[in-house]
Amino acid sequence: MARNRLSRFLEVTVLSHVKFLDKTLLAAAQVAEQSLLSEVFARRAGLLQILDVRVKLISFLCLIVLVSVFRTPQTIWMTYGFCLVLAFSSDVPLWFFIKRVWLFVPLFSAAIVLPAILNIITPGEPLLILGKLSRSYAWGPYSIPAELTITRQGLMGAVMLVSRVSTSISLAVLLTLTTKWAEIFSGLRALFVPRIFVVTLSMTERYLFVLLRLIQDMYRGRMSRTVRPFAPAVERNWTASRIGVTFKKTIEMGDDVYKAMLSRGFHGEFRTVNRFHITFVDYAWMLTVSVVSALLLLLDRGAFR
Amino acid sequence: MMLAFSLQNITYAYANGVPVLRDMTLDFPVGSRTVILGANGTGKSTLLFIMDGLVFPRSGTMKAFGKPLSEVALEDRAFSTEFRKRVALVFSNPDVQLFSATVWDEIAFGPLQLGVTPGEVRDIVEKQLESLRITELRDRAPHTLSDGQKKKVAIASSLAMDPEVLLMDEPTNGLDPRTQVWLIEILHDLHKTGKTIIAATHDLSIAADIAERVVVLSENHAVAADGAFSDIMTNDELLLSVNLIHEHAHYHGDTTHVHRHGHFGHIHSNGGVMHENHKHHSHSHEHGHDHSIENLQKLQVILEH
Repeated sequence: MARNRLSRFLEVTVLSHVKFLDKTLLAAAQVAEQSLLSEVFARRAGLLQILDVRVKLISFLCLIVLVSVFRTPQTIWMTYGFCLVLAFSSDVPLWFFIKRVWLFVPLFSAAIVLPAILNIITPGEPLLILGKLSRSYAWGPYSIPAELTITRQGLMGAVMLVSRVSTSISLAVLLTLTTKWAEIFSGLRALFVPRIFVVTLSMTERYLFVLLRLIQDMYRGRMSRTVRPFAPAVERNWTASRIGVTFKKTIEMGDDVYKAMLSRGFHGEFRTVNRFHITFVDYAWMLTVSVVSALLLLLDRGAFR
Repeated sequence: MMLAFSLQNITYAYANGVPVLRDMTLDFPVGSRTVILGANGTGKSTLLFIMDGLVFPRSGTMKAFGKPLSEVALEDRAFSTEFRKRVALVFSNPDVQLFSATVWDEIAFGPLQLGVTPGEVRDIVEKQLESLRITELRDRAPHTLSDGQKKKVAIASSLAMDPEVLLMDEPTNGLDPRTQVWLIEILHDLHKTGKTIIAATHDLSIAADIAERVVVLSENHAVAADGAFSDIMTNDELLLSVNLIHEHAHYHGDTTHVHRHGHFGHIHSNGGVMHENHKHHSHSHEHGHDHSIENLQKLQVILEH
């Protein structure tokens, strides 16, 4: 009986331990996998993939700025529709694209938006009464009215915010899905981002994968030798020591990378060569985006009423 | 005889005083093919780093192409650029050498730093991609490459500078047999064009394929031997003393049999060098033992397993 209980206890603790290692490994693998998946879409022969990265970056930046200045949700939704059309014509599966964006939207905006729809934050015309208090309360500039309601102004504000966030994220996600990170970094130079900043970003992205593999290997090594659970203190020590090892390896690798750069003539100034060329498709794209943006802006400002 | 490198009494030690290289005096003629052989930790990589002007000896003098090579000399931009143009190093770990965002950018890095015009850089990169048969990798990010592909790109990025001397640290590390053959072919082609090749390795099989001269480093960080490939590789006692081959005993019936194993192309007591494919059957017999055909077949089966 006692033995059964002990074996069940061991089974549970071993499983939970393995789960912790599993989760860490899985998370590390997912980062790499997601990046590779993005590269898969970036390699497809779609509309956005054939555009010059500089043109693409500037046009997407303009569209995101446009979304932030729109005053009506309709024009923002139209921009979102345009974004979906672009995703479709770039061979990005629509359901995958929609899911990827809308999983993040509640995270980014819901927490801010939910209180703002109430009359506590946004006073206005009541749409729905949620509850009543015996009296109203006031603390200096803050007050809680006797009637807790969702207001029309609050709801409109929330809809606008969620629409803006989701459309802006959609545009950003579409850009990164259809463009390799390497190209995005090179394209940033066209936006006058300093070269050293772009190079640092690019190298960070590059070595993230090397260190990710190192971490995966350490966890795999541990997992392969795990036969019984360890005390939480031992686990914490091990995790802390691995963080230290990773940091040390990072420093060593940084030193070696610098040596490799010196070996090939690096003198502190990072020279690059422009590999971009603008084609007819890029001009057609610029024209389309300009026309669509102008029409949406006019519509937003009521020019067609 | 023009010397690519001339090392006089070179000594190097870590900051804590642990010696890495002891009193090394070596000359490397232009156009020669040298393999620096040594077990792990004998200082091979440090020696290459010193020859590439990445670390500097504690004592001793060194000349590259007849000119003194030192930290002070490399501070002169003109000398440094000239030296980097003439000497390239392929690192043991390709991950430290592949720091650019794409394969194309990686190969372009060296020539760009050395002041080659963008137009010429484009031609150089295309030529390297083609000659090393890696054109399909052009736009790939380094983290998406296999180890063999990374090594190919690392070699291409070094060769892009058209160096006169190619230093290679553990060139066969992580390479599958087919890529090893590819590497040997490349090194033969480079040698035909008059390039000086200096490779540091503990892999005796590649020494058999590329070296005309072998420098053996001992485990006390000094030069144990320096001579023609055929002389060094048939010196069992030497190879045994520097831990590059090992000896063990086993039984055949009532007879004790002592083997010397070298995982390489082949040493026989008669001094012949056999082909790499037979490396697992490499033995030199310590004492006479007349194997019958049947026993040899049995031995072969055992060794193959």
